[in-house]
Amino acid sequence: MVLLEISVNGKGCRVLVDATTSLLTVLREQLHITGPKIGCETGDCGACSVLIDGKLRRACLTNAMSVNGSEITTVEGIGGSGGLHALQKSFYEHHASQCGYCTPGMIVASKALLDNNPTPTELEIKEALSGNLCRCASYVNIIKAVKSAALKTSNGGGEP
Amino acid sequence: MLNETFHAPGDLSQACSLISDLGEKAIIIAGGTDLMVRFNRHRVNRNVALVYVGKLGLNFIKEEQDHIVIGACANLADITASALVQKKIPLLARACSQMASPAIRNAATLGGNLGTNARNADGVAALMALGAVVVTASTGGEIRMPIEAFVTTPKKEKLANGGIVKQFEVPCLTADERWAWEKLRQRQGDSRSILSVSLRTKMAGNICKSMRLVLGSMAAHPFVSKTAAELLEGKYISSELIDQAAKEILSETDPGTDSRASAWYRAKAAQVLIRRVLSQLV
Amino acid sequence: MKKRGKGLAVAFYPTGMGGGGDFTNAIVKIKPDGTADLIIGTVELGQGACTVLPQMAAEILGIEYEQVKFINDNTDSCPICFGSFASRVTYFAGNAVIKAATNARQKLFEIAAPDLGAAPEDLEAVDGTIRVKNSPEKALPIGQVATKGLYEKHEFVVGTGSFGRPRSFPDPETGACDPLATLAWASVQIEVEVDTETGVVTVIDSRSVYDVGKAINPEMAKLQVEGGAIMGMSWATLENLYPFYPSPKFQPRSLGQYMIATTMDIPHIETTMVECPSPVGPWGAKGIGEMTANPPSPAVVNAVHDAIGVWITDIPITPEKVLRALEEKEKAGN
Ligand SMILES: Cc1cc2nc3c(=O)[nH]c(=O)nc-3n(C[C@H](O)[C@H](O)[C@H](O)COP(=O)(O)OP(=O)(O)OC[C@H]3O[C@@H](n4cnc5c(N)ncnc54)[C@H](O)[C@@H]3O)c2cc1C
Ligand code: FES
Ligand code: FES
Repeated sequence: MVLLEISVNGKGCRVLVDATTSLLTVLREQLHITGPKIGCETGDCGACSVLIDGKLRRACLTNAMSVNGSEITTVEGIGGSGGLHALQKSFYEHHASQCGYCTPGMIVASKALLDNNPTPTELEIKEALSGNLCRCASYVNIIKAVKSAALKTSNGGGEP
Repeated sequence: MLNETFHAPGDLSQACSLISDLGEKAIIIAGGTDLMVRFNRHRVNRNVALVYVGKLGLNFIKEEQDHIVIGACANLADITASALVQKKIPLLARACSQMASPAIRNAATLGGNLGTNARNADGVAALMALGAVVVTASTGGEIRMPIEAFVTTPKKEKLANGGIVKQFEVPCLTADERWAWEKLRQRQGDSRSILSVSLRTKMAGNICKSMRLVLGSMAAHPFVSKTAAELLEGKYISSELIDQAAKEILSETDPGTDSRASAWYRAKAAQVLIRRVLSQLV
Repeated sequence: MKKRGKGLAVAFYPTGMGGGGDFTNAIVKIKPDGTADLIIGTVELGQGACTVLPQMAAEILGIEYEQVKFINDNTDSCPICFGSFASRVTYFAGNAVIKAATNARQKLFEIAAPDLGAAPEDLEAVDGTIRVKNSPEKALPIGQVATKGLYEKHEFVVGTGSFGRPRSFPDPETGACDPLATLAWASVQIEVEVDTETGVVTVIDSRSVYDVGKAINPEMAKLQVEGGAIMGMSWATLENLYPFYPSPKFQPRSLGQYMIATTMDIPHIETTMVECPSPVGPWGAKGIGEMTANPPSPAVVNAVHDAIGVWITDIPITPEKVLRALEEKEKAGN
């Protein structure tokens, strides 16, 4: 086992991990942060999406030790104690989920998009979310929610 | 007994000696988008030593003389977004933008794409169409080899002493060169290739001066079509010639059947895509 | 060449177990703070039971949706629900909830009646109060009524409800029976574009019209229809469990091989709801769970026929099937 030191949602964590363990396993099973979901562990669904040093990644395909020293943001770190993030509010207002299994990943992927591109076009939203499967196919409302959140934040909504 | 170890060397020569010392146990890991799928599938403790190459400073994209030099650890998102790549070798930017999905492109590397040794490695097909050279490093020094030679050379020879893929050297497109990249896939979001056809060519009016046409997923590795070069170079590109080329190139292929498509379909669709990319030239 | 075509499919779909015999029980309990517990064995698997069932209880009790707590923690202790299948929950569980909530409300009326100086049948539950019909100033907060019942009258303010349908056996002579609770109706139109050289079928437009009887939660009903529209077209064009049936050899082994539609694959989508009430559904509601995945695929099949004149009736319509069918057609024509 090897020592992994990461910051998750602003909190420093030190854990012993196996060298081949994924970040997803560490987050869920060792740190009990269950916002990132296990959908496939093959990189195909996006339910495990997290931000690593601000970049959108698959937690399941990220070797935990390869991100030693990094800052990880899960859905729990978006909004958080400061209340809901504009995106989360917008998902809520636009009924952008049904069973909700894809929602944490959708929020994280949308956050990564808006951080880089505050006023995306519909096609840009679709491309940014193209790796996040929604079996309930709530896609239409998800796209609407991201569009509306983008409008609000880019108009100086000042959300966290 | 826990046998797994993890190493994150900070420079290339250190990494080379580490891999040489570790011997058979060493597994190079870059973005992990291919390797982790396998590790996740069987969560057992392995007698392996992971050597992470992400800290070797191999994520550069730079211009050297008339080449673009891309570090093995440059990720697909950075390559897609690179102004240099978009301007000088746009074929690669297009190919990378159509690989996997945004989150995976933020991690997946070109070196890893070559390392998968896959028949449907899109990055390899694109680099091959561009005429890229692979540079590997090991304790025995550096070796340079055209990528089409690299994919068919046995691992023991090309990565002597367990070497590392260091970089790709890609000749910039000249003003009189044209390119094409066509990837046929099952769906529009996040989908591996059913097959790909790409080319780099020099045209003088409708006369073909040079032709480098690459097929992906149509044999054990992406390959440069000899038939295309033999048939088209120096010729006036007519629609008859295009039809002939599309048919004859097939003899070089060995398409397989998998969950995405049958060999029968691949043979049909490859002809269509070849005709389409060649028709764009005239 | 790219060719376009349109196809239509209509569907009707029953609600609940074919032949009847299924039921759902529910308990509604009023608490001293004026909120309610809805205790029910209905499984929430993402279909929205934990939204629409409390909505229905709230409607009867005259309180807010947020004031009803949905409790379905275990199927052993909670009242029996036959299950979340057969598109039956809104209809069967909904009717059971309405009965349970109505019975609980009746208890509130009986407790409040002496204080309000009116007969229980002259009371109504509105805006969190029990009040006299036509004299809204004569009102007591529900919490106060429940507290009085619980603490002074030692009355457990709870209502139970059960809703089911008897078994309907076919008449041995004629086969006549009454197998279906209620029927929902739909019509779906799909437009496709077919690439006749690669065989790729792209769904570009999808319009759905559904008769839901009554949309208890209109936005969720619309989502269900949209989800079904996308799942149905995904099924019709992409989702292949046996790529080379009957050979099991190349079956997909992961989500990377079993293709489902992504954001990049969805067509333009339009949804229209029609409300033609069922005489027996809760406020007329019918079940539109499963049926939404059904009509899109035959509509795609019809659209492909319209576009290229061949019938491909085993889905998914893969590019390979399109090319083979076009070859057959050409052979037959020559
Ligand atoms: C959902 C999903 C979609 C995908 N879609 C596509 C697609 O559309 N097209 C496509 O081509 N691929 C696709 N892939 C495959 C994969 O993402 C790519 O091949 C990627 O480029 C691999 O890079 P990596 O850095 O993640 O490799 P890793 O997983 O880190 O390594 C892969 C292999 O390469 C070796 N290796 C890595 N770096 C080096 C080096 N510098 N020197 C020597 N050996 C090395 C490793 O030992 C390993 O054997 C997809 C994968 C997933 C999970
Ligand atoms: S669990 Fe990581 S992509 Fe599905
Ligand atoms: S809401 Fe169910 S998977 Fe997206």
